[in-house]
Amino acid sequence: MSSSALLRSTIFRREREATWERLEHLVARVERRGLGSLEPRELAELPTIYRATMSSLGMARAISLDRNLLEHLDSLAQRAWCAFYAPSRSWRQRLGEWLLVGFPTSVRSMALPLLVATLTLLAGVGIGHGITAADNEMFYAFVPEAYAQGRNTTASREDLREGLYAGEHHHGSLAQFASMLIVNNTGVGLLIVALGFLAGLPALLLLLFNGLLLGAMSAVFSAHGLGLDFWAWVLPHGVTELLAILLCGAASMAIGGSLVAPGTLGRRQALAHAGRRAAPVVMGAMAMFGIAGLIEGFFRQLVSDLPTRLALAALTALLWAAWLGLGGRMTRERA
Amino acid sequence: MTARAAAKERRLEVMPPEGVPLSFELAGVGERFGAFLVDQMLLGALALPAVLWMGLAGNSNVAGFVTALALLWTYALLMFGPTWLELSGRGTTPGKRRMGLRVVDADGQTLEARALVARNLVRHVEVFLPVQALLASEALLPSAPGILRLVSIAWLAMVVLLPFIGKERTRAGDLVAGTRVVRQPVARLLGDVAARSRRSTASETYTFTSEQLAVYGTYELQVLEDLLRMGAGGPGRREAMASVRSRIAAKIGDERPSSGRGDDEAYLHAYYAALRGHLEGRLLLGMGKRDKHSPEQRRED
Repeated sequence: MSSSALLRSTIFRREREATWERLEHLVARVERRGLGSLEPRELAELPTIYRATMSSLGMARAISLDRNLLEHLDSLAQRAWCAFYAPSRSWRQRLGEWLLVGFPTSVRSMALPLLVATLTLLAGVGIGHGITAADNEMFYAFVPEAYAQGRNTTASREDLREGLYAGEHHHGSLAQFASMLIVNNTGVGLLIVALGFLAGLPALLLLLFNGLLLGAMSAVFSAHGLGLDFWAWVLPHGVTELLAILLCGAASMAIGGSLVAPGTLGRRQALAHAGRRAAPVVMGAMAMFGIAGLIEGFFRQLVSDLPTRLALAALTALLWAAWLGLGGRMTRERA
Repeated sequence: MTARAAAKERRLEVMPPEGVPLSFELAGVGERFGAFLVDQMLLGALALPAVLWMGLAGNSNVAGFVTALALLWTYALLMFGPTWLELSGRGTTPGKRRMGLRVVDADGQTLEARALVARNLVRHVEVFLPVQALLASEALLPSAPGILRLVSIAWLAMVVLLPFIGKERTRAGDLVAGTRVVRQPVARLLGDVAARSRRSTASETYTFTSEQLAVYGTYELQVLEDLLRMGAGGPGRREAMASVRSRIAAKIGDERPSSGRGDDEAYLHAYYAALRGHLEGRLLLGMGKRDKHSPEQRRED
């Protein structure tokens, strides 16, 4: 039988079938074990046979009515596209890049929401402190009794002092206490981020409430001349924890802001941009909650020396400022 | 027609740099939930020893340390397990592979690792917070006033329902990350039905006039393809062939009788090859015929 009797689409398929099979073989391996599992020789031939198959698909759509062939080429092209346009770097590279560049630069890209979040928290502290100092009864408006645990306006100086220096875990080990703290705090952080989809307003409110609570507490302690002791009790872990909460709040506002004011992009795209910028920040905040939990669970329970507590607070503030302020700047200049 | 329009809406059209558009089928809510359940069961199995330990362990100092580690391990699996699965699978997870799904970039760009992180972080809003809100709504936002709590819960409800109301059945996580979950079927390349029929002697026995080939369109051709690909020796196969042959013969006005035993299949092979040759030839001239009801017209796509 002469080849002139064959359909064009059949000849088309015969000439290219081997290339498609080769691509399918390689794609199946990439799907299972990643691009790294290919030999250099195979990596070199990949772009050529990938493009050849894509062009086969374009042509098949124009000339062939063999449904199985069309479906196969469609599926193969989709699988190949997914395999090659997926994140390909290893875990270690990705983690390192995130720590040194991704996290700090993403945080800096959110400078404005971060500033707003910080001012909100500080305003809360100021207002809470001022109002409680002026009118003791207002304390109960800001601090739920479950949180105060007796550390209220009627407590004696000795009771308050004891609360700052005696440690507060009553059962289980320090490690258990620390892990409980981490779990609780990350939960709150995620909640703040989650509320970002409501234009970031709930995040601001939450930050304000937290500020009011802190301010009211500090007013109670200040009234007995324990103001510095109180902050030395809060800040060693508080610097890290509050910063993490602020980062969550900033991420939340960035996401909310993209919905309210999408700018030149469409709302859908603006949201996707903000979400991707927020992801490294939130992951960083989660890690910071972990560190804060360790400091609160161990250090605060074990060290009751005022200067040491203040020194640790200052040290953590300095470290975070340096990391978030400088991280990734060198890399960007080089690139 | 409405079903067809709806099906078209649930597709993701992507234009790769190679310039050949790809059209992905967006995954349904049910499949995605199935994949989610598989992943959760996997993570649950990993967390099980730690959970058992927390339930059984005493409260000595050493045990307390292990309990703390167990708590963190369980928590990390719950919070970051899905992220870890999806990052290490580069857009798939064991559950998604099982259901034939995959995450892709909604704009056809390279899928970014941070997009995967973002879409998984949002899952807390969609799954864990609502569960918490159902079980203990007063523990959610403990220091917030009641009205804020109410608003938050209403908002949560909306986020949870998003996959059911949105046109694209997208969950909030995919909107925030700019990703979509698509189906990724693996289609095997089977033999060419036309090539097989050309080898058989039937094409010499049976020839068709161009009037006989102008009756059917692409749809009927591909239904015939499916019939001819039906597994050999399947029950009722010969009867199906015979009945389809007689229907086609009647439709195209072909009065040649069947010579029995295997002849029906040979006839259909011959007709398939001839019809495909005819339609593909018209295709080269830019003309297409969708099915037997529609007239031949210029192809739009």
